[in-house]
Amino acid sequence: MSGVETVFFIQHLVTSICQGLQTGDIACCARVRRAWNIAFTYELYWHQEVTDQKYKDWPLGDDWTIPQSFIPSLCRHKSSFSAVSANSPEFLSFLVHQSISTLTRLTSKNRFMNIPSVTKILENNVDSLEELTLIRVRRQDVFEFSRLVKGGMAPLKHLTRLTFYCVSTTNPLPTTMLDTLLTHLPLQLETLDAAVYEPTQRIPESEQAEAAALSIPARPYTALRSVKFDLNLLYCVKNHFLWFLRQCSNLKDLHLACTSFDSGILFATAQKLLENNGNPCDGSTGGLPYLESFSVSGGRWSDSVACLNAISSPLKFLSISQGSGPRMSQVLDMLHRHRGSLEVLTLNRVQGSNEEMRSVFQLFPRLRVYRTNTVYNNRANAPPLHLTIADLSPWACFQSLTILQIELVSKGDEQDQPPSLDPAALSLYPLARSETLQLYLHFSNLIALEWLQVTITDMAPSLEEESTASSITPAPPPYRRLGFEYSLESGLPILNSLKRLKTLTFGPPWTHPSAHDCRIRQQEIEWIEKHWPRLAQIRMAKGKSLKLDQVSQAELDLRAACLWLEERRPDFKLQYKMPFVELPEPTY
Amino acid sequence: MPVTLTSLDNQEFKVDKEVAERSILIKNMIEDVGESDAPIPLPNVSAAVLTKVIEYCEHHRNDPVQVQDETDDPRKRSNDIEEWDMKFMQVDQEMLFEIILAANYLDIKPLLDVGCKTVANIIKGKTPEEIRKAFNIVNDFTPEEEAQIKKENEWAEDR
Repeated sequence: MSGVETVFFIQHLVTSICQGLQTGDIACCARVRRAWNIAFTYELYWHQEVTDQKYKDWPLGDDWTIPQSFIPSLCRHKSSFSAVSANSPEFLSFLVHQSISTLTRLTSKNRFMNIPSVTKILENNVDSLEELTLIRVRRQDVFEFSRLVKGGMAPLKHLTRLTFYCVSTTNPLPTTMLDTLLTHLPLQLETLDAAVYEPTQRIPESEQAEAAALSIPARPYTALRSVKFDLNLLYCVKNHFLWFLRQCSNLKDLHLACTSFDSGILFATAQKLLENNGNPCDGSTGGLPYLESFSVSGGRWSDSVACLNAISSPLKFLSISQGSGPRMSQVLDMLHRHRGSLEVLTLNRVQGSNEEMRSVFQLFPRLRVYRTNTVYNNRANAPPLHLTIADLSPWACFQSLTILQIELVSKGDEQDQPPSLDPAALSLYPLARSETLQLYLHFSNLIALEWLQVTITDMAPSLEEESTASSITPAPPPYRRLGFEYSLESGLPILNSLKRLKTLTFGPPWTHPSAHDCRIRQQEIEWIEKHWPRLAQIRMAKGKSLKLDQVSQAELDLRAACLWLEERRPDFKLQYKMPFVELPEPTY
Repeated sequence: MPVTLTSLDNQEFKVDKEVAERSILIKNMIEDVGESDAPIPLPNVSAAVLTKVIEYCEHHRNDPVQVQDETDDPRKRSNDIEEWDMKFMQVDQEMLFEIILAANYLDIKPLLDVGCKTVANIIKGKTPEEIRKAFNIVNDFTPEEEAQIKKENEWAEDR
């Protein structure tokens, strides 16, 4: 066999050649000879991924339409669809009329996918669906879907993951539809994520209604491990939710989100579920004895306290994000029972004193992820929260440490030298103050750190300012002289030990637009490239009071330097984020 | 330190280790064997092809080693070929494809990429008949079969 013939028999060589060809050229190659037809037809259709909502690689026209000849060809060559994201009328039409028995995931995020279409798709010999995601389900379709679920659709017999977000517009969503859904879910379901975005019909409080719900025959959702409910949904199905969670005896993960502040009833309901009270009507024992992960967001702290108090199983993961900002002391009081088990703690908008902040580290010896967004005391005459350098020493065990705001109170001790650094080493950092160096030293002990997010502000006035300050002159602004700026001069090389660091996040304090706590330039990035082998992300927060089109020189330097690193590390990205955005869940 | 490579037809080539190790296959063989004067056999590569491969590796001996990134989107890669590489690839077709096969066997990705890009540039913009002519290929389709394929791939041939 000649070299010409041999090359076109090796598929990965054909793939390499096709990378330099347009689709039309590949189609022409498929017509050259039989052997080429096999190789190039594979290239023509194999890349037609059916997973991207914009049909990556599909030959879409400017109006997002698909050529008529493409669909039958795709059907012939694409023997299986493992995941489908249906977001256009044409594609929806295509799916409805095809036999796709191997479909395992179906997602729809826009209004084109209505439930009758979903039903048709599922009925077309789909018997392998494992994951169904329906976002923006319209009011008229909720009934249809609940009816389908109640009828025990055969295509849902393998469903293990259901995401169902309803959008109800002006007319209240009848709760009976959602009740039906909740009481007829597939028994093999493992994960449920449900939400209603709009206010729904208010449920009249009555003992009869509650009793009626509890008298529903048992339906053992013993496979369900994870439940996430938006509490508007809970508001709708309060009584049935009580019944529902009594069926989920093996639940490990419960997440309650409240988009309304009228959460009293809802959390009270949740409290009942969590309490170990059996239901004599169906013989269930109640409680969630295997619960490991609990999170609550939104609503009032006072309402969620009851829930937390009702949890008796040892939690590994706990997330609290409340609009009204509980006190740290309140939170910690309740978490004593979990001190031996808690590994991940997220506290957003929790107000606490220094002592309380410190106590977290002592209270939970197994804690490896601690995320907190402490809120300053809003009273004008209250002292700001701060931590001292010594407070940082217990943190060495953390893999991921996210601290959104630390204030270091400088006491003008420039004469003090950190004991761990000798004078020769100190001389390397002429611009750094001793507190800054101490901070670098403490962070350098966090050798397991994977994610670092620290915003540091310096509270002490300079000697110069102290001498010039007078009763007439306004007090200097509190945030200045930021030394922990990740520059080489300030002590970045001291963090040489953070070999596992993957994400570095920083940003200006949102309360002071001109402050900036980063000075990463080309030389810093080159140092990072050499000493932080796993760094894949630098995330920079834009100050809340900054206009998004304001770009400082420091930011320009950072951007330019990061481009250099991106060329060397394809997985590296510079990202921007707004402050106080819900942090993504770290991978454990 | 020189390394000796033996071609399919038993011709020996002495090359610098640094040049030879542009081939990942050879690099791994050297690492496995350790320091040794024994020649490295390359039974799949003829002397004529090996000469060309060595010429390429010599020219590119100082290039940074390309790190294979599975997440790299191949569609973002440039199809431009450097001038020297373009002249290097001005060989008869049989040699061109033999170089591709040798680069594949020896695991020299940059050379493989250049070879494939060169073939792609030959194919680009041609009709099936022109492609057959370019590669001296005989059409083994019946007219009906070819028409069927054309109809099936009609959506693609307009793009």
